[in-house]
Amino acid sequence: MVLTLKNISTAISVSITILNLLTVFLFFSACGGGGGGGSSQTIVISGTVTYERVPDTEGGLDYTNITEYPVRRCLVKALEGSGNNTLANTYTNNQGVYSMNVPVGKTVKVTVYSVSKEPIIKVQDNFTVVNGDNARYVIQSSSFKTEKGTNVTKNLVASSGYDPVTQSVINDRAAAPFAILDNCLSASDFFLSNKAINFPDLIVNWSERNSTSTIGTSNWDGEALYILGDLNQDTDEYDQHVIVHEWGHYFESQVGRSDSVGGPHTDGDILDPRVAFSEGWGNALSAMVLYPDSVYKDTGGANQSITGIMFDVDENNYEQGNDSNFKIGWFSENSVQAILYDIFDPAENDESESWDGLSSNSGEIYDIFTEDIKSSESFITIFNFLFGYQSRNPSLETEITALLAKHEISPIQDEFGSDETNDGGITGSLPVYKSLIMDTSVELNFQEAFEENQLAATQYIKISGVSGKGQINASGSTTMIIELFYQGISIDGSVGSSSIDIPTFDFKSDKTYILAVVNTGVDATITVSLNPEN
Amino acid sequence: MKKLILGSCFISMILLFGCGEEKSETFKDKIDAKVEKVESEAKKLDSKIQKKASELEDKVEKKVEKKSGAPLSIKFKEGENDVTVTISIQKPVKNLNIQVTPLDGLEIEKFTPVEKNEYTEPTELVFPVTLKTKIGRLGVYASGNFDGKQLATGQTYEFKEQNSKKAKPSDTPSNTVIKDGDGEVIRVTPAKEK
Repeated sequence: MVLTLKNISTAISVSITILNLLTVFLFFSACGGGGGGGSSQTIVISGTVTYERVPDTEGGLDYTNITEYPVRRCLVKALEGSGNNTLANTYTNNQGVYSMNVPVGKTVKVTVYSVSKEPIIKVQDNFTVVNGDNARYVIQSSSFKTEKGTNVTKNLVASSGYDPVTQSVINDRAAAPFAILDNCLSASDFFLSNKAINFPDLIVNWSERNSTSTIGTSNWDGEALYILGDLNQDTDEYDQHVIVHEWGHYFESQVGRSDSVGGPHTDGDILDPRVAFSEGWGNALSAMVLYPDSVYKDTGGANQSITGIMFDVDENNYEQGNDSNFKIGWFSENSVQAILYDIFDPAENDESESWDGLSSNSGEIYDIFTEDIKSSESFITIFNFLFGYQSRNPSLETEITALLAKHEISPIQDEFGSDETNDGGITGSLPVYKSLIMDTSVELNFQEAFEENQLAATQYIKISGVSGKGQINASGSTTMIIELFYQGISIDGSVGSSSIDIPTFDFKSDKTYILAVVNTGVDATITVSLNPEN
Repeated sequence: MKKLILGSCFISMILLFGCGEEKSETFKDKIDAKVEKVESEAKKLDSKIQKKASELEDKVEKKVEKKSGAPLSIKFKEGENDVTVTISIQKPVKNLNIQVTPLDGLEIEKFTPVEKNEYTEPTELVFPVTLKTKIGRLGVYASGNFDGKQLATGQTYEFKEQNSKKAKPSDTPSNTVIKDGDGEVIRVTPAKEK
């Protein structure tokens, strides 16, 4: 009260402040039992948190070489013995070290959550839900009592569950969620090392019940990651390239943009270029983040002893370009992954590849995704990335062209792949974008697709420089879908047979729209026309 | 499409009635039945188109990618005390490995895995698996080098008769699920301490 008076001298103010502090000190001393070790006093609980990683090798998971890694940037709480109230909380640092002040006279359990900060990533059990909330995975110390003047060290380890006696996994796989989270953090850090990025929160669903029957495969479903955990059949928690690949889908979907339609895919397939880019990107990113380990490994089987899927992202496969079972080009995820990886990999890795004179970094890759790809009017394919990269590095055009030549891709003109000449042996695949303006029509030839995500099963039409209201009609002896997009967002569409329409759309002359035309049947010709609205 | 077919039916009806006016009721009944059949087929076709469109739209909407498995199919045929596993390999393969694994508490007679086999042309492999119990799942994991590509396919067979309460997950979690003081649901596993 006295302190608020304006005409008091500075000397008196200081004296009163000291007096107040003394009063506060005496008050708390009294509450704490006169300094006799009461609950207002704290001790320090600290330690290191690690998880057991089982190395993924070309011969399956290697349980004989389990190594501890720090649990990085994860939430740690001191939970009270009964009631599980939070007495204190903190986060581990990048070495897995934590420290927190906890009141004395309490029964405490140190609890480490599969939840990270910077960025926020939460690994949860998609099969354990209480009142609508999924369970987070935690590891917990045994309970202990905090005593005045006695700091406590608690070094905790999340176990792989492997039993060396039986040589099999027979205990809880507490390490699995932390291993997944660690790979997601590595992927985030790959970009954060060059850019200040506020990543959107990420949810990762992992469970021992995540099998091919329940989730199909490890995947990004547009909202969250799902990771396989079916022991002795197919687990992915230690398959680092698989985890980063899926994180790559989160990145392109939430930070950049993806126009992929999904579906089955593998190296050498002749894919819709949106799928080829998305999948090739995931593979390339896994090799970038885990550099120099460019061998993608996906393990499975009894004791996870087989590496069922394996390929080197740095392998270019150009020698297989004429193989009837293996195609390279703008429609191949294999070409996409090799090109993106060669653009990234450091100069010392380029020495064995005379055509690779490029070395980029995660900052530039981030910029291409966020500044070039995200707002593209075309669909997102390898052409968008390459056009963005070449525009930023015009002096490297010769090197870029040399790299693309290895993959039978024509020199880059624009994001639409204009002048591309490699048709992949598929009818109707070129030009990559057909053009349509008012009062004209275009004929699309389709051959029966093995898969709906095969090259040219969907054909793209570019509608550019058109002004005013128009009607789009598609006709042909087949069942078809037409869908109009702007910057990858669906605006209108129609489904049916024989003749279908988008009755009216008001085109703006300064925008380029993309019409996707899908043939769902056998070989067919579809004629698409654009006419002024009746 | 539906309109077109119904329109055609209507024209057919007019033509038929125009030609056969005042014919016997039996004939009219036949025409009615025919119209009904055509309408029914039109409905079926319409439904088929809608279903196909819906499937395609769902696929476009969901956008879930799926890594291709190996070019082979795995089929299970359950007998009284056995399961016959048939693996149809569609392409030549090198270094073929096949594992058959009992999961979730299933017990089987010892199965000798296929290791590093090679087939120069498409082939079908049949493996009888003798069961000791019928609780749980049977897992088959096949991998090999197809056209230079290392690929794998895994599939499980779940026994329909199983009593789910008796089924034991592959690794039964000994942990507990609680809410912490902040209301967060947590699945607690004891840490190793050192």
